[in-house]
Amino acid sequence: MKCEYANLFLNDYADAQLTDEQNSAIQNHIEICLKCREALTEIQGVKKEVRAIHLADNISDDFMDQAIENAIKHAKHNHHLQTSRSTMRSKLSYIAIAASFLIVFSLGFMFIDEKDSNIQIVQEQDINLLFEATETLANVTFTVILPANIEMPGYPGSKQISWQGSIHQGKNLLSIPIINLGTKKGTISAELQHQNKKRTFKINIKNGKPIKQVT
Amino acid sequence: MENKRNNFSVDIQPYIPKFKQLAIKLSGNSDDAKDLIQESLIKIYPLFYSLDPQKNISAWIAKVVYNTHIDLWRKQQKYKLDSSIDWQDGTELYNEMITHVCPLLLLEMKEEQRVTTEFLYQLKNEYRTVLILHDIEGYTTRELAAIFSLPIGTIKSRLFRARAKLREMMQQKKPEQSEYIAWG
Repeated sequence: MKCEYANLFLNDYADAQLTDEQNSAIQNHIEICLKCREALTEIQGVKKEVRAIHLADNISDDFMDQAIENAIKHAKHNHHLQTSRSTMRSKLSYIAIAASFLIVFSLGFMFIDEKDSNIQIVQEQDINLLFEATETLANVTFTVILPANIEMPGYPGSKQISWQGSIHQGKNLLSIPIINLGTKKGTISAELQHQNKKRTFKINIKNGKPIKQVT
Repeated sequence: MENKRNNFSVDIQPYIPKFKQLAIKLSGNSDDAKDLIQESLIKIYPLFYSLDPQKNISAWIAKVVYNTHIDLWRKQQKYKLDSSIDWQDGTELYNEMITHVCPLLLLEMKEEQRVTTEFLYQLKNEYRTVLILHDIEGYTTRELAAIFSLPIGTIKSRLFRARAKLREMMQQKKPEQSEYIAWG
């Protein structure tokens, strides 16, 4: 085995990531090659030194307890966070204020209302989808698929985010927090799946304005 | 609701030590780590009980903490940097950045460890975060691929380059004394 080839595997060897066959080949090589043996020792040395790093922990248990309590309170005051980012509210007045898209569906996911919104997607805001369900549904899978330059806070770079939640009988509000990093054009997809029923809502963005489209 | 609250305070405890150390190591100082912990918990709590118990919850928490770290960093930078910067490349900018480690966190360390730590924090974020998560926190390259949303090959390549860079720094010179920054 040539040193150039062995070198490619030294880190994997140090991390015990090789197959038995590869492992034996590297072992045989380093037994006869001082240069590669020294390189391996250096890698193992760096690993050992880095592994030993433990920064001083001056964050108290009281702070942690309070932070946990704050997270619970935050969820309580922000009901949409309580149910896995899907806000389920039955307040029409809230929806009017939020300039939401009005989308109503039954168990058959029938779309019966279509109003174009003229709201601008600004740097950070929620896109709200209003649904009406004829009965309570548990274990609904929500999936949001984002175009380039649109992100959900806390998930930079993620283009598809899924979570589980429930839908109550009556009106439900799904609130999707987004950050627009400057996109003018694209499509946000929101999928709802319950057992074998699936519904996709698409919000097109043209010239920075969202235009709803249901498929 | 009350049961869930009580359970969360208890159920999150096994993950707290690792979660706290990760927040401190990513932030490099206690004040930012506290913000990161609080913001991460706000995201963790609503989803915690919908997670598949078969899944690696620790790795999922690490992903939330890492994503929240970038999110908080972006928010901070937006106030500092020129608005003409194209934030489409925010993650790339983050990867290039160097985080200063607060000297207060190094006080209890032996000299040799302190030198290694200062070198570690002189690496670009993309190298440092991989080293922290893999070599210190013990996540596998497969788990890191999920945490960073990158192919395993990229994770391995970053890991190898990070070690090589750190090795080179250790061989060449002692680290520059880090400047004390009044955090917050």
